[in-house]
Amino acid sequence: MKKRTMMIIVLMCSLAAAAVASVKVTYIAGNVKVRCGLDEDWKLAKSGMLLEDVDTILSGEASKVVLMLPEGMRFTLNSNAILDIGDLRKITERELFLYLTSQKINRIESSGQDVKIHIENVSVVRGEKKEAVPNAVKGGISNMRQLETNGAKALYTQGFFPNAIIKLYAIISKYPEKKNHVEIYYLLGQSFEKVNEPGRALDAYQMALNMTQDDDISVSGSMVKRIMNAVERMKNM
Amino acid sequence: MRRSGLSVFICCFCLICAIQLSGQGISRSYGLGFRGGFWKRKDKTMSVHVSSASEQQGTVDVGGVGGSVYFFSRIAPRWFLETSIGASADVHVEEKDFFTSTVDVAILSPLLFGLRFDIIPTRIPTSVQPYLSGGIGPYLMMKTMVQDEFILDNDVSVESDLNFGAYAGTGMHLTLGSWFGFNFDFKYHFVDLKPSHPYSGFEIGTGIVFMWGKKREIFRVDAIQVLVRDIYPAYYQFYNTYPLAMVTVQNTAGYPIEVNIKSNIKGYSERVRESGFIKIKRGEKAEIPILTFFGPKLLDLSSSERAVIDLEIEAKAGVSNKKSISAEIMLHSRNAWNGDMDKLGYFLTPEDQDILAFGRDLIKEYSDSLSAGLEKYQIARQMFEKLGERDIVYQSDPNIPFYRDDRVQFAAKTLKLGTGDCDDLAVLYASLLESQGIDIAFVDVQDPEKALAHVYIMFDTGLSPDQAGLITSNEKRYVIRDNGRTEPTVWIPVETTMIQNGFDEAWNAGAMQYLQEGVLRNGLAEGWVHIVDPQ
Repeated sequence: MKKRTMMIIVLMCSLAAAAVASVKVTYIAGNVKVRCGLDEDWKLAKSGMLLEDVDTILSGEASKVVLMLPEGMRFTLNSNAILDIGDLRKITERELFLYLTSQKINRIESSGQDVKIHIENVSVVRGEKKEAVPNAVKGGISNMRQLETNGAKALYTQGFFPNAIIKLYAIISKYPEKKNHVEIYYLLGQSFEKVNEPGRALDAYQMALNMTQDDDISVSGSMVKRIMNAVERMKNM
Repeated sequence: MRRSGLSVFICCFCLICAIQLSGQGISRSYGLGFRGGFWKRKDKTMSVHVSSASEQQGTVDVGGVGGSVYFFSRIAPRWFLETSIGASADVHVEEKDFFTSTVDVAILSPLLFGLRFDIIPTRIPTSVQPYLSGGIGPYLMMKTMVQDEFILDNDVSVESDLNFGAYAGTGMHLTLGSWFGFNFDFKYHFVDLKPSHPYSGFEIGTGIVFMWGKKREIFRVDAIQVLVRDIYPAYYQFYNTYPLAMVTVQNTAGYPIEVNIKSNIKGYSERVRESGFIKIKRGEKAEIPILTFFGPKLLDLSSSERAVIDLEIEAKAGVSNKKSISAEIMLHSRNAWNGDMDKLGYFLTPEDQDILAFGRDLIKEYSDSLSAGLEKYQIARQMFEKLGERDIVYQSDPNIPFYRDDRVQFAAKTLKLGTGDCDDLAVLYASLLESQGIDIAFVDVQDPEKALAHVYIMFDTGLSPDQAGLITSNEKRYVIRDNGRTEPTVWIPVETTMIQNGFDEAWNAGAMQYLQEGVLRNGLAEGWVHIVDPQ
């Protein structure tokens, strides 16, 4: 009897823990959709539904959704934003440091001295097949990059600075073309400032400033001024 | 007369050449010699004289004739300790008439301890070894006089004296082989340390010498550090570029030498491999890497066995000096894998005939249905489905007692047997994809919360990030990565143990593992999930 009682208690605790580990949708206004795990389709979000860390939430035009996090905090996602629930996980300083270090390692270029055992003496391999290049597809949702940037902004504005940094890096690697990355790098610099990483913040601001000098990229004058002020601020620290 | 002179010259020339060719160059450590010679004393001449004035009268004079035995032992590269004991006698026999005769014998016997210094450094390959010598020791002198008058009266007198003395000299050895040579010696003895002593004088001798012991070493092997004790046949090409051992050689010659090391593993090396001559300065050390030439023969090993790597170290500086050493290594079976993910790529066999045939048949079957730009994705998909149709299933490795290596089956074998564990199936699918020109990477998961590690693969669809929507609208199902060969492209993770479940489930399982372990649990940043591109 005692054993059974103990088992029930343990089970209940586990369920409670599982429930706490989930994110709850507490308020929905407008068009808010949810994609579960690796599903291809989006479903309409409902108030009170539980979301796992592999799920994604999308807030449409003139929409808003409020989420209740496991720690009891509220997180608001405003219109035209997309967010992975996993991006709301708690990220420690150590995890952020490891992430940034791994990013740095990944950026180190190969020495080019690898021994390619299959083509040891071959300098050029011929065998390319020319073909029609398939059209770029944006996965059904237009302006995905802006939606994700808005999601990262939501993380920043609500104090999830390490999460914002990781999200912004993910956006940069996902959309390698540098056009319109000015805002992303500026946001990255601001996030680094908040986690007390002035060196990295300066790098990010400097990158944003360099991009503003590209003729192909249109940036408002006020934005350029803000970036320049940020660079000066970092240099004077 | 001219002809005989020429003959002597030719003979001498031939003798010198023979001596030079057969000379040992580096003398051995010990030697025992026998010398005969003359001792020129102050008051005597070196002579042997026999005269006969009549039938009853005659004299025999022998002046300063003697011999010695000497022993030498090396104490430094060019220095030897030398000990000799000898005797030199003056004998005067005189028959005055039929009844009267006198015999005078004066013997000088020195016991000497000295040093010898070879003038020519041993790096010069010559069999002529001139030297300087010097030493000290006691000189025993004995005088015996016998006067015989008829039969009745014999008068015998004996005198002896012991003096301390010293010598200095020079000479040379002519070595005819590594153990035999001629000796020519010249000394000046200072008996009682006085040049004016009646027994002080020159000694000239010649003789033979027998030598033994080690030749003087011009190098020493300080250490052998075996870097690779375990050889895994599957990576035999790797060992051809990676040193199996480091040998530290110390130059003890006192002048620069050049060292070459030959390595061979009997029965497994394709041929002897040489390090090439490496110059080592006087008194310095050099670490010389040891490489070997392994061949595909190593892949015939069906079980582990011990082998010996033989090293022959040769040092050269005019003369050459060799040493042989060995070290034991372990050769593992052809399927053994030490779990090093960087080496799993060596098990890929995209050029295997069975693997190529599998891919060829598939391409023929589906060539009409392949869409432009999506070929890699579609071939990979069809290949996975085809493997499922062949009833290839997961089976764990056998437990072999005391055997700590993992086993990896080559792709053709897995295809034939129809079973394999996670690494076997990953290698099979990866080999098939590579045989069709599709790049792959292994995803290694060493989850700290799990006892067993895991491996699955991801392959390059060749699609740019913008084109990812052609295959999925969910960005969590793929990874954008740059493997250093192309621009960033879309890669798909596939759980290769799920061959029987079909491509879509295997893709989902791979993507979910990557997302949960690599991203959400921070495995990629913490290093327990890592992506390895085969070399």
